[in-house]
Amino acid sequence: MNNMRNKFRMSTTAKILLVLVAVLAVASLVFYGRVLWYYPHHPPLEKATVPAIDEENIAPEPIEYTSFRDRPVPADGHVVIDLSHANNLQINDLTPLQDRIRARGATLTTYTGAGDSLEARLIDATALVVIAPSVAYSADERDVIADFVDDGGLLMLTADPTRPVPDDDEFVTLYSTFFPTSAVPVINSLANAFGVIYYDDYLYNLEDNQGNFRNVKFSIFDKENALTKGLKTVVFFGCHSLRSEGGSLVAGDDGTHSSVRTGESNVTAATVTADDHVLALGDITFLTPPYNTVEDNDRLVSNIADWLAADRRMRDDLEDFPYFFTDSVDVLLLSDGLLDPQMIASVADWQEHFAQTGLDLTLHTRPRAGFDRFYVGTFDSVEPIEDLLEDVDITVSITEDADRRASGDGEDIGDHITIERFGGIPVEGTSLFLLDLQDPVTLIVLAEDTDAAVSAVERLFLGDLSGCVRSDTVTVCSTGQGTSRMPADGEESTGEDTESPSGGVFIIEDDYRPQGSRTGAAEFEAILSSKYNVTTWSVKQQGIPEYRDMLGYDVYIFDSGDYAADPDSIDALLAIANIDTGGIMLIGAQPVASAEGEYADIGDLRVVDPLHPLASGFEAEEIIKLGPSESGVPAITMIVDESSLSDYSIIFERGPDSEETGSPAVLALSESYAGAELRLILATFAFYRLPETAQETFALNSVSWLMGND
Amino acid sequence: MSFSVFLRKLGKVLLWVVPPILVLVGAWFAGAAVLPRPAVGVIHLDTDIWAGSASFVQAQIDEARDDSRIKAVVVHIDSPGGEVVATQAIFLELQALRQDMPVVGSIDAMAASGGYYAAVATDPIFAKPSSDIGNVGVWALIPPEATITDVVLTSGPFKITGSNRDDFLQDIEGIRQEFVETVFSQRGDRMRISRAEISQGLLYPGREAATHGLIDHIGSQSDAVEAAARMAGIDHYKIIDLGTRVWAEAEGSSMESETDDANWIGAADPMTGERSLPYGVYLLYDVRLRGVP
Repeated sequence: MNNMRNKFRMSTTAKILLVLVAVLAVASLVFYGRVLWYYPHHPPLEKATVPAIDEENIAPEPIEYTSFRDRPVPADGHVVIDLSHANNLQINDLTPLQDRIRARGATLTTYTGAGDSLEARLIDATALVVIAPSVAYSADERDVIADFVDDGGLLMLTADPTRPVPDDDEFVTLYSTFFPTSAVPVINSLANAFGVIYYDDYLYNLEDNQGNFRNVKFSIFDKENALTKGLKTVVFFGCHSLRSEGGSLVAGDDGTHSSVRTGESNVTAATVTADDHVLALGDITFLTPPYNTVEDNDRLVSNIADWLAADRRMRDDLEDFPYFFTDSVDVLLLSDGLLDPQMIASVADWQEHFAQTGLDLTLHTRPRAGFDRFYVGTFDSVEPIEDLLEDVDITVSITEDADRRASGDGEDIGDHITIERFGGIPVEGTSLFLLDLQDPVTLIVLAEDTDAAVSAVERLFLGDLSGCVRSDTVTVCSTGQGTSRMPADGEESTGEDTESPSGGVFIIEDDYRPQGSRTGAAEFEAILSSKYNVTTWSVKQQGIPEYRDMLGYDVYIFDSGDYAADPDSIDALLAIANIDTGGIMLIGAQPVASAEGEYADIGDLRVVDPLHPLASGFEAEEIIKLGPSESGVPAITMIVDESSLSDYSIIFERGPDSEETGSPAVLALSESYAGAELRLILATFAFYRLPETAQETFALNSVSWLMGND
Repeated sequence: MSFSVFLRKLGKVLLWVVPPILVLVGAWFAGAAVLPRPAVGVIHLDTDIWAGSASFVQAQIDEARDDSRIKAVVVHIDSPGGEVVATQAIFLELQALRQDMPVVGSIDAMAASGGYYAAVATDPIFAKPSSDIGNVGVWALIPPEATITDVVLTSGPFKITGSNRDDFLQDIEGIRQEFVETVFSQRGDRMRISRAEISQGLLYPGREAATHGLIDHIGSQSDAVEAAARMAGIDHYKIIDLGTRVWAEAEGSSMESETDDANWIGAADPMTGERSLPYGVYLLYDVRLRGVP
């Protein structure tokens, strides 16, 4: 047994080795276990491959600029560029278009809003260009432009998303740069009137563009329209889409989209209205250098210049004076006696005006062949032009008073002319215009006397044909003087004498004050319209009337009702200051604002000057009870400064039921100025508060007196 | 058996049992030195992208490389993007890291514009169902046009401005193309949207982004970590927040000030959320922009 033990007894070295092997084995086991524990999928999965970027697809295309040789076609239009609506552009932006228009011989001017009205500026214009306005067009401006277009004028509208309403803030922010106030409502304030709608969007094409999604290529054109003649591709650089009752002039392809109208294709980027008189473009940038030279843009600019430069304006109306004349004009006075110093000065004045419009006006005694003719004379000097009048079926005949009386007509109604179409018309206060546009163009102006004839011509220069009646080539106007009986527009007169309105009354209803309730304008109009031509102007609805709005009336009534005076509303009263002829009535609790004025309730009136025409129909010392005031605004207490007034009368004073009893309530004033008599009535109560019968009597008395009747 | 005999026998037994246990334990711990417990690192891109935030991401990438335990990385992204070059720097660094270890993306609230540019360097990309993803594109404020004057003499026409409008437009278009091609090259056949469509710059909710192939999975950050670990072939791993570690290491150092949001001129105001931006080119989604153009 011991031998066996000795036989298997290991040496110490062997034992150590055995232990080491065992330890290593265990360690390996542990290590491998660790590997299995932490790296169960060892060796790791295959490394991810990092794909390379396909650089061939990174190649932005540069914009290519091309040249185009313009071949201008001579034209004689007058293009007006409107810059009066805070337009978001520099005029130099339009240099390519301006140069092209001038190259065609057309006149090019800008309108900034200073001086003349838009209407006046468009009288001689043939085209109006509206680019990037940021202030909306008013209803009046729209009407003026619509009339201009109806008259054959051309209108070009342009707006794009890169030209919004400019930020007025002192510090322009990135936010306002990215999200500006859109100018689309502004352009639509005009465009909509012509059936064109600008969408508040931008067009883009992600697949085929000129270097950027918003630089859209267009190749779909209305081939029939001269504006797109010769175009293959144009590029618009930031473009609104449009919709129009007319045709699409430039449209996008299937890849062109609107930023707000998902899914819609063939969007319109430019359009013309059906009558070809209004062009609307969704982009401005293509007109500006250097973008006008990309693809066929420059050709489009030339086409637009051709379109704008052409004079398609119809000059077939008396309001188009003197532009319906074609070239040189002979002014022919119908009798030698007309050429007095005043007429010489007037003709010189007319020559200057004609010259400013490119027309040559010369004074002649006989018409020259091939020259347009401008006859000026009086009704009793028509013999030289009787043939011309007969050609257009007009017979002018003077019926002397004596003849009429001899014929048994009885009433002395003054000299009359008889025009076949209108019947009998009093000479006094009447002017007649006859326009024949056949070559040579002939215009005849006739009036009662030399002064009236000169005034009639000046009226043409002012474009003021208010109070005129037209029938074909003949226009008859009232000068606002005398008692001419005016037929209604288009009315064929029967020649019978009828009681018709005579004279004009202009009522300014000052109903735009902070405190108060109503005026008596409606009552005035109801009473006066049976005898007079009455125009009522609401300041609240129509603003302050301008000088031209107030021309041609005999009486002006400024009615502030029971509105309290406000210094800000004095502008409405100032409108009256424009009037240098005719009578004026100021009526209301507080017709004028006075810092030192005193105010007191007024409940009745007492008649104190029964002999004055204003008091006709009222009894002496009669008390007229006023109705209640709707607003309760007290009336201003009138204080008369006798030292500064010469010819005045106090007709009514405050009655016993009023505060400040005995103070003047109605004052009538006459002043002579420059040979003419000016009449004024100042009444310090609201007209509507008078009893109905008193209203009628007082209103008719007042207007009659203001018209000069005593 | 006497007690002394018992002790002697116990001693022999212990002599044969304890050393092996000690050896096993020692071997285990000795193995930790040789084969440490693996980890998945989490890199954070949770801010606008500018030079500072790019440095911060770079530091986290370096940390991941330096730590031998980190066998995979998850990039946690919540960014509206930012400057172009800083974004591209992050993209290239993450792409390089992918040569060394799996880099998985985990989009939190937003990976817009430059944020998504960085995300496409990761693969796969996880996002939440309503994460904002995409906004592929670039924008810039056009540099002013300078002219020649009698006061300043330059050696070239664009020495002052660096470009004109046309060149600048090409630059912008080039960056857009680079962005789009980067996305398509990294995402490959998984993209189910055209180059033109993605160029619209739309932001897609996570689920729609998955449909279009902009991301791979709807899932949490844990899912992303698990995927990263699986790709690295590891289990029983640790998660190491590299952002926290880098912040801790950077405390008091220049890194801390470099990566401070307030140091970026274009950083959003922490109170108002508004930002002011200098002239530059941006891969950035933000509708609250402010500043002087």
